[in-house]
Order: sequence, then C-alpha cells, then structure tokens
Amino acid sequence: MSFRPAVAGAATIVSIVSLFLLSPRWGGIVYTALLIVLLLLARRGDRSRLGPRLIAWTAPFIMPLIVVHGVLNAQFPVTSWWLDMIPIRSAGLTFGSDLAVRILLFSVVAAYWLSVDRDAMVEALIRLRLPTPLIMLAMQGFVMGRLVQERIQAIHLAQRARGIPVSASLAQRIASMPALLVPVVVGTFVEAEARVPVLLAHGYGRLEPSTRSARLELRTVILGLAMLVCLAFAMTVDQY
Amino acid sequence: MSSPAIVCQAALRIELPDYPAIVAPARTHIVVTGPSGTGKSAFCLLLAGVSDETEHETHVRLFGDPLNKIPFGERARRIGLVPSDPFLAFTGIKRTLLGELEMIQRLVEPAGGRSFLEHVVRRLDLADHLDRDPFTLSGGEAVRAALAMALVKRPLLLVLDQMHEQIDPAALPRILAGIAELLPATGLVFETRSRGALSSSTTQQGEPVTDERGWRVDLRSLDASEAAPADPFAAPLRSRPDVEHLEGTRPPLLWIEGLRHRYPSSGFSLGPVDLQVAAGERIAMVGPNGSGKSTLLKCLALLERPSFGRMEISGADASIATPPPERQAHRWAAHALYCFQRPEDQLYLSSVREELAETSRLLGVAATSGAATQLAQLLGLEPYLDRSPYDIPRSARRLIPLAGALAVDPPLLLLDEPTVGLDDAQVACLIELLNERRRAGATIFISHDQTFIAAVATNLLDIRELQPHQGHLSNPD
Repeated sequence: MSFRPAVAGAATIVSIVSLFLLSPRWGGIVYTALLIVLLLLARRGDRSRLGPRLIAWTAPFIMPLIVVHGVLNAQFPVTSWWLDMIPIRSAGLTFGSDLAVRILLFSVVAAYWLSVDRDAMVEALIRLRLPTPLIMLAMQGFVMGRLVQERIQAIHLAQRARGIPVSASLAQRIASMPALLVPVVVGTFVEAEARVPVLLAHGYGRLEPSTRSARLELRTVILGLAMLVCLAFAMTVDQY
Repeated sequence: MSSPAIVCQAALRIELPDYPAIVAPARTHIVVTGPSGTGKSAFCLLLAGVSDETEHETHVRLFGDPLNKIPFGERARRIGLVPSDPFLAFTGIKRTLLGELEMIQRLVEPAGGRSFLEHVVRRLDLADHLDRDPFTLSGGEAVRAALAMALVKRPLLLVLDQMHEQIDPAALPRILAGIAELLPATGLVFETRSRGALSSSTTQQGEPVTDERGWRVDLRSLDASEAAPADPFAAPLRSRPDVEHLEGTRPPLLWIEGLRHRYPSSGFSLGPVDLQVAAGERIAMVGPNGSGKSTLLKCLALLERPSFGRMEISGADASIATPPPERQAHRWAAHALYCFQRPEDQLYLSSVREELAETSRLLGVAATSGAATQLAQLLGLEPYLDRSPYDIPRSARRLIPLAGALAVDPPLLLLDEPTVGLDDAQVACLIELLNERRRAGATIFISHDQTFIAAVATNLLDIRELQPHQGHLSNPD
C-alpha cells in the first residue's frame, strides 16, 4: 500500500504538533492515539514493509532505552524488584516508554513518507499551485535519498571490482568502509554541483529574471540537502 | 510558447575574450573539438546561460539579444542543454522518462505540446523506454533521453556537450537528422567534442579556426546529412599480423558455457552465451545501445551474478580459476579486472599516487607496484601525482583506474567505454599501452570509437550474434 501525500503530510503535522507544541500530558495522549491510528491504517493492505521497517529501525533504540531507564538509571527511585534480583524503576519505565513511543511515531511517519509515490507527490504539489522551484526543492529530499542510494550500490560494485572486500566478513567490511563512504560523500557533492546548472537549463529554476542570489539559493538548498542525506546514509550504511 | 520570429545574419555571436570568436547564422551546426581539460564543458554552461561567470554573458548574443538580457525562464525556453553525463539531465522527481519529459513541457510550454513530445519520442526511438526509470537506461539510451528532454522545448539553440562519443556510430546520422528536423526553422546546434573533428566529407562553411587552447571550430549546415560510417573493422583487422599469429594457436584463457542473466526489474535477459577467448586477444564488443554489452562485461567480472554451466579463467601458471562464492567475489578481480566508466566511484585516497598503487596492493601484485607510476607518466598523469584525485580534470581522473588496472596486468582486463571523455593524445597513449599488454592476458572492451577499435582490437564480438553453442568467437570474416 502506498500512502497518499496528504495522509503523510497530515500525519507529519499532527505528530510535530503533539510532540513539540502540546503539553506533555496532552501531547502524550495525542501522539499515542495518532500512533495507533497510523498503525491501524498501515495494517490495511500494507505492502510497504512497514512492520519489518519499524522493527529494524526502532528495536535497536527502544529496548536499550527501556532497560537503561527502567532498570539502571539511578536517578529514578527503585519501586520494586523482579525475582529479587533486578530493580524496577516505575518512573524510569514511564520515561523510557515515552521516548520509545516518540521514536515509534517518528519511524511510522518516516515509513509513510517512504511509501508515498513520487509521481503522486509531485502532482499533489502542483495541485497546490506552488511555484516550480519550490516543488523542485520540496522533492529534493526524495530525489537525493534515491540518488545517493543508487550511488552507494554503484560504488559498492566498483570497489568490489578492484578487489576491495566490501561483501566479505564483517571485519573486512568495516575496514572497507572508507572506500565506500569517501566516494559516496564526495561524489554526491560533485554530482549535486554538476546537476544544478543542468536543472536550471531545463527551466527548473526561477522563471523571473535571473539573479545571482536565486541561483545561489537553489545551489545552497540542494547542496545542503545533499549534505543531510549523506550524513543520514553514513549513519545507516551498516547494511554494507 | 512559439519561437521568436527573429531572423538576422548572426543567429549566434560569441565574442568572449580569450576564446575564438564564433559568428553563426541560423541552421548552423557548430562543432568545437579540443583537448580535455580546456574548458569545453564550462563553455557549454556559459552558452546555456547557467554558468557562474555571469560577467561573460554580455559577450554572447542569441538572435541579437545579449544573454544577460534574456530573462532566466526565457533562456530555458530558447536554449536546450545536453550535458556530457546524460544522467545529470534527469531530475528523479518523476518515476518514468515520460514523466520527466512531461515536466519539462509543463515548465516551458513549447509550441506543439503533447503531439510534439510524441514526435520527439518517435524520432529518437524512445517509444519503448517511456515507462522506464531513466536512471536504469543504458549509456546510449540515456544520451537519447537527455537529448529528448532538451528537444521537447523546441529550443532555438541546442548545446551538446560531448554527446557523440557515447552514441552508437551507426545510429548517429539518424539522431543528427532528427535534431535538424526537430529544431525550429531558425534553430542551431553548438556541439563540443574531445575527439573526431568534422571529417573532410562534411560540408564546411569557411575554414576551421584553431586557437591556442587547441580548439578547432568547424561550422557546417545543420541540414547537411552525416555520412553513415564505413565499416572500419574488417580490413584493419585482417591486415594485422598479430591477429594471424593468434588464430587457432593458443588454448582458451576464458571459457564460458551457457552464461545467462536476467534483470527482474526490466525483464531484460542475456544469453545463453558460449564464449572462448585466447590469451593475447583484444576483443571489441560492439552492438547497439542497450543490447547488453555492459551486462555481459559485468557478468564476466561477477558484478552481476549470472548462471552458467562453465566459467573458467586460466592463469599464466596453468592454474584454473572458477568463480568464488558471493562473499569472496572481490577475489575474482585478480583474474578478471573491470574498469568502470565513472572514476569517481572508485577514488577514495588522498593523492593520485596512492590511488594508482591501490589496485596492485589490493590484489597483491607487489612486483608491479611501481608500474602504475610509470604508466601514469605515459598517460600524462605525472603533474597530478601528489594532488587529490578530485582536484584534477575529469579526463585525467578517468585515466587513474585505467592506469591502476594496467599496472596489475590481470589475465582478463574488462574495459567499459575507456575512451569516453579522453582526447586524441590520451587515446593514443591508451592504444599503445593496450597493444603492449602482455601476451598471456586478454582484453575485452566496449567502445563506440571506431578508430580506437580498429587500432586495438584483434577480434570483434557483436553482441547480437551471440548464439548458444556458437563456439569460438573470432574475427567475423
């Protein structure tokens, strides 16, 4: 199932409002309710691999959070003992669970966005009558992520082709990481820099008279997004 | 929007300081041929009105208007750009090539609209690719798609940055005729090339201009038809003594039976391929764009995982290597070394010198670790040895993986379009080095460069003629 841009957009707005603008009590109620609604929505004919994605993204954070705060964090008082051996800290459990639900909510919304069809997204932005450069910038998050992903795959093969053990044992893969990350990061910047003038030549820039600042603006935003995407990929490149 | 009905003597006037002056009437095809690293791509961006060097825009006039006086959106309508890397033309905001083309039309609203788009697609033979993700197109298909993205705007000026090197030469006359037909009646083309200035058979208007950069400027009528290339292969191959020497005298170095591969996403399938290659052979793989040449080369390097009945490479010491399991696939590089088209995908060390020695180090070829530097000198990389690989001209960057691979001198060397982006001098060095490669090794390369093929290849392999159980593929006499 791919979610419509409007659903993903609404989920994003509600989650931001509940996470950051409402009081902790009302925010907690709203974002927990929202999480339940989103999960129920996703469950209906879900083909976006939401379940596996959620587990992969959140399990490494949620379990340690609950254990650290609910058992180990001495700032929270011990309220009971489990098997007379393990301290249970109720306030810590509440705190850890609160963080866990926030991470879950963030992950669900991110998974929603990943399932949004690119063409549907562009058409939705066009229907909003946004200026083309703004549509282009709004779409760069989608585009950059995908381009960097393809670049990683190409670089993976290119480095394997010259004998770098990028698919071998875990230790060898870790040792090979610079051979993947440096071309990804540098190559993404080089490509983003080269792509900007071509997009401008196609008419994706401003349609009013050219100004140097307009070009700089587009260039800055695209390079900034490239940097963010590189950072995100560098942090999640563990699959290699 | 319709094209402005301006007719004047000079449709394009370029009078930039330190550059050759170019004054061209409508329906002109301007070709600038020059060495790599002399600023041809930057010049293309300037002509397209998207360069950072805005102060030079006053020196370029399109139908009488200085470039800096043409509003930015109007420039996008009047000028089409096909970059040297065609994949840069795709935005990725739409899933399909059709979506990309429609977005361009939506932006510039050219005359003719949808029916003109369909005409462009038919004329450039892209109808079968409209529903494909443009980033999955082969190199030649991507060039045609990028060209379509520029042509759907019906620009007055079409700027082509080193396009022709990536196109199957047999298809080039049809594509150039298509450009002439699709441009407006007052349109003109500005094209850069690293190699292959217009041949004497083309109609030239006046004498070519050559400046101190080594640029040669040719002007000809846009409507002059490009002659189809003559078959450059058979005669040169037959006359080469090394080919006669090889025929039937050596055992196979590479032995493949029943190789098959299929891309689930596009449905494209290759094979079954049977192939035997003898030591000393230098095989040019030819065929139209998108026919599976790169796929076969990647299968031989195990970068795509094909199925096969038999796949073996004999070493110089008579050892037989068979493909390792996936997790050890990198070890296959010691037997079949593949050079990618994009050097940026492999470069990660801080200097060219380190990068040159890296492939030898990785493959444990200690004896030839100094050979890379010697090769670098031959290929003109010496001035760059202590610089970052990303801080040198792209054509020089392209030579780094080639020099590294030649230093390793593997049993089977696989090259994908090794001459794209190189100038005449660099290609001449590459030809010499490949022809000097040790006789115990074989080379298979893809190229559309007929001069290069004729100078290097001992055999031709037409991908379309690969049939099951064909046996030894040799000179197609």
